[in-house]
Amino acid sequence: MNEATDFGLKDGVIVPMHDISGRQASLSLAASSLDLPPSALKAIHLVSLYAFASTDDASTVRPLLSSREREVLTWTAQGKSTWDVGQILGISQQTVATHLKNSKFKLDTTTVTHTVVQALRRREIEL
Amino acid sequence: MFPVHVIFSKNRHLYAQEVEQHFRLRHRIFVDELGWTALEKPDAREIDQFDTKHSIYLLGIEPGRGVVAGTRLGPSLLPHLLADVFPHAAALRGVPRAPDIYDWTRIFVAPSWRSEIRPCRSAGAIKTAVLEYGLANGIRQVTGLGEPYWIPALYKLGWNPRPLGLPIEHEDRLLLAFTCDITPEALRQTRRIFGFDEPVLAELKLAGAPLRQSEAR
Repeated sequence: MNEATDFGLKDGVIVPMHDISGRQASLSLAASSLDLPPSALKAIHLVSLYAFASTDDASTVRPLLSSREREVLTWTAQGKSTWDVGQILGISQQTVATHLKNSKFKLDTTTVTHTVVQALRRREIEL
Repeated sequence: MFPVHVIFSKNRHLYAQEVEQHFRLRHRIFVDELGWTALEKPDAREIDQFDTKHSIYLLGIEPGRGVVAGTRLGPSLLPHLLADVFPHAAALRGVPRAPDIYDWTRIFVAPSWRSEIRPCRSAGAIKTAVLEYGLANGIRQVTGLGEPYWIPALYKLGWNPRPLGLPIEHEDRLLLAFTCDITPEALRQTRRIFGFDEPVLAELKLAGAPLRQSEAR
C-alpha cells in the first residue's frame, strides 16, 4: 500500500471517466509533491478526456442491433424458430441464423436466450 | 423506437398538449430527479427564459402515451444559455455565434425509456434527431454545456467536440462548454452505433400539407 510513497510518490491526481458504452477508465498522475493551480487541474481533466476518447478507434464500439436483427429477435422472443422467422420475414433460415449470430456478437452473449434477454434489457426490442 | 417530432413556431399549435407535457417532464427529470434546483418552478413546468418562439423542440412521442424524450435547440445569435448565463464556461475560446450555429440544451429521456445497459438507444434517437434536423436545415455546429463525460461520448459518435473553456464548477458538479460539428459522417457514425437504419425524425407536421424537413426553419 505504501509502495508509491517509498518511491517518493506522495501526492497525485486521478481522473475517473466513462464513455457511452459504460467503459470506465481513470488517469492517474503522481509526484513527490504537487503544487498545481486549480486551472492546471482542470486542464489535466480535459486532456485526460481526450486521451481516453482516443484510446481506441470508434469502430471498436460495438454498435447496437440493426432493424433486421431486432425483427429477428422480436420474433424469436415470441417463440418462433429460425425456420418460422425465415417464413415470416421472407428470408432464408440461413440468413436468420446469421442475424442471430451477429446479434450475439454485438450483445456479447452466448446463447439465443441470452441474446433475447440482453436485447430486452437494453431496450433494443420490446414485447 | 418512438418517432421524434420537430416542433417550432410554425407548428407548435398542433402540438400544444405535447409541448405542455414536455415542460412537466423536464421538471420531473431536471428538478425532481437530477436536483437542478435553480430550475424549480411552483407550477412544476420547467420553463426558462430561453424557451421562446425561436426554440426548436425535438420530442420523442410514444403513440398513445405522449412525450417520452426530447431536447431543445436555439439560434446562437439570440440570447441563449451558454452566452448569457454561462459565458465564463467559454472563457478560452468564446461562444461561437453564427446563423448556422445553434445552442443545444435540455436532453432528456423518461425513466421508462432508459436502458439499464449503455449506450441508451432512446438517448441515441434524440442525438440522431439533432443531426438529422441540423443537416436538413443547414446547421453546421451545435454548442453545448454539460458534464465532462459528454466529450468522450460525442467524440466516439463522430461529432468532433472541442472545448470552449476549462471545466467550471457549478453547484457541486463540473460543467464543460463545447462546440461540435453536424456532419454527414457524424450522422453515419451515430446511426451505426445506435443501430438506426432509417431516419428517426417523423414527417414534419404543419397545418395543411406536410412540408419537407428542409423547410422547417
